[in-house]
Amino acid sequence: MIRTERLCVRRRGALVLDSVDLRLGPGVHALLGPNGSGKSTLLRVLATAAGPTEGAVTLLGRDPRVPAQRLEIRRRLGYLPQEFGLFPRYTVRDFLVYAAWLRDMPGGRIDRAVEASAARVGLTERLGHRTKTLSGGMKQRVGIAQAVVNSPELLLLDEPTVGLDPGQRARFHTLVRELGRTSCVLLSTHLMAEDVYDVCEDATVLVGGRVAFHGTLAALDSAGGYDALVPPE
Amino acid sequence: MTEHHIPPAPATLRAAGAHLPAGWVCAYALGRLAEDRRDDAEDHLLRCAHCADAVDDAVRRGPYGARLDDLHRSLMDRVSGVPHPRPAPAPSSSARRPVPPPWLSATQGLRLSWLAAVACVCGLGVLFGRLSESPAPRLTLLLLAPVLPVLCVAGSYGGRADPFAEVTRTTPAGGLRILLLRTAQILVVCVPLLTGAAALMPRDGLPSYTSASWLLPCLTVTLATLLLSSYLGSWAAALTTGVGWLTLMYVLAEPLLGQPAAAGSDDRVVHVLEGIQLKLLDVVGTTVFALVSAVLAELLVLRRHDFSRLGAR
Repeated sequence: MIRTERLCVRRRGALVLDSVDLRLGPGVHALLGPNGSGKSTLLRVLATAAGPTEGAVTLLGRDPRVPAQRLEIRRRLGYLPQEFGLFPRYTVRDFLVYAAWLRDMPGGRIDRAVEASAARVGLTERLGHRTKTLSGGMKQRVGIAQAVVNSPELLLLDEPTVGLDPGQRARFHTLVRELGRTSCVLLSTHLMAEDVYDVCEDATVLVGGRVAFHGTLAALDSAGGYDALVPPE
Repeated sequence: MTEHHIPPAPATLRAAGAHLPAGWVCAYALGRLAEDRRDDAEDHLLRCAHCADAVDDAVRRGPYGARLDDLHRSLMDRVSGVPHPRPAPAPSSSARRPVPPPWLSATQGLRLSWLAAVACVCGLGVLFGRLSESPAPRLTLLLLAPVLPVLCVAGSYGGRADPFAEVTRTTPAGGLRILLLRTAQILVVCVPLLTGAAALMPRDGLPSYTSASWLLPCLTVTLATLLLSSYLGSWAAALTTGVGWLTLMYVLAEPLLGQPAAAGSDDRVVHVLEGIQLKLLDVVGTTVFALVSAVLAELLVLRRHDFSRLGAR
């Protein structure tokens, strides 16, 4: 579902991603690395928010450089960036309807999809509340809900559990595991935390814009673990 | 519906744009479609969202709809870990509130501060016009009117003004479609405001054009901004167009600055402003605006994919 070949991204002359080769199918995959290792840039490229400087990207079997194929990818994509904001005057329902409309969902399916995605993150009771009245953790849950509102085939989550309490984190793990049965979920985090061990099948570790490791979590542990790959900050 | 009443499938079912006959949809939803047709129907349903929706609707209207809803609810309970409240009985059609179309949710982000700024410009224009009893404020407002909406679009949604832009640009509707929708929303608000303000301001008996005459230049400037935003992003495009419009005003005003005021008007400013307006809105000016608008609209259609390209701003 995700395939990159010799993917390079330069920003202001600096090489942020350097010859990244990835092949990820259905399942939940971890993208690990210290701050500034290029995780968010890689997610932006995979989310079609940014283009590669060199190399090739194929998403869901389609080429994002071709307009018609890019449109098809975007219809099947869910994306939660590390930093995002909500329109303060929107209610949670308005916002999720907006997110569903943005993803070209048929009008007749939007109401049901909005309620299902709100239920998945435990926001059913808050659907009528304005987003400006929500706490940081609840805003993060709205962010997760908008990313899954279209039941995406490709779900990209950048530090999704920041601000979630333990109960919500457990609920999030259930949601991601369920989606991972049929979809490709890429979960980015800068910590080798419970999120990874609870839900991910394999991990890719980025260090300095290069893939330092790709394999199962057991293989990562055998190789000395995350700390052995990542130099101390 | 019995099998012999079901019409045959069109021979071009596999062709792009073909849909399942209504009879097939109903029969499939009720599990009564003949086995030899089922494979064709399922093959088509996997590729056609329109027909999949039609089957979905037919199932929900059918005898199993309520049971499916119950199943969906209990599944959601298990997924979310929270009991999902049973829905209240559907209200009668007279009590049911109209549901706004989903695209309307895209227009709620308009910043009130920008709307208030345009309203202030109009209000101050009317106030100055009334106090000075001169047509100069009205002419100035009309000359600036084409760039006010595009600045309002940029200020309300451009750059970092849209907190959700990072996700919006990764969606199918996040390109030209949402830009056109937001521009239309701003125009729907700004054009009546500007027209109303101009109507309330004194004309002093000058043979002025009506406020409606300015709609064509307004359209041209808006189209130019939209087109430029596919290259530069909305803020830079609005500023470029704004500066370009003011430069055009200056170029048109320059030959008039050295001339004596026209007979019947002692006010040099009014003379210059009116001269600019006459040049912009005479037959030649209007024709030029119409032609340029047509060209810009065509270019906008040609560049529509650039609004959603990788890395678009």
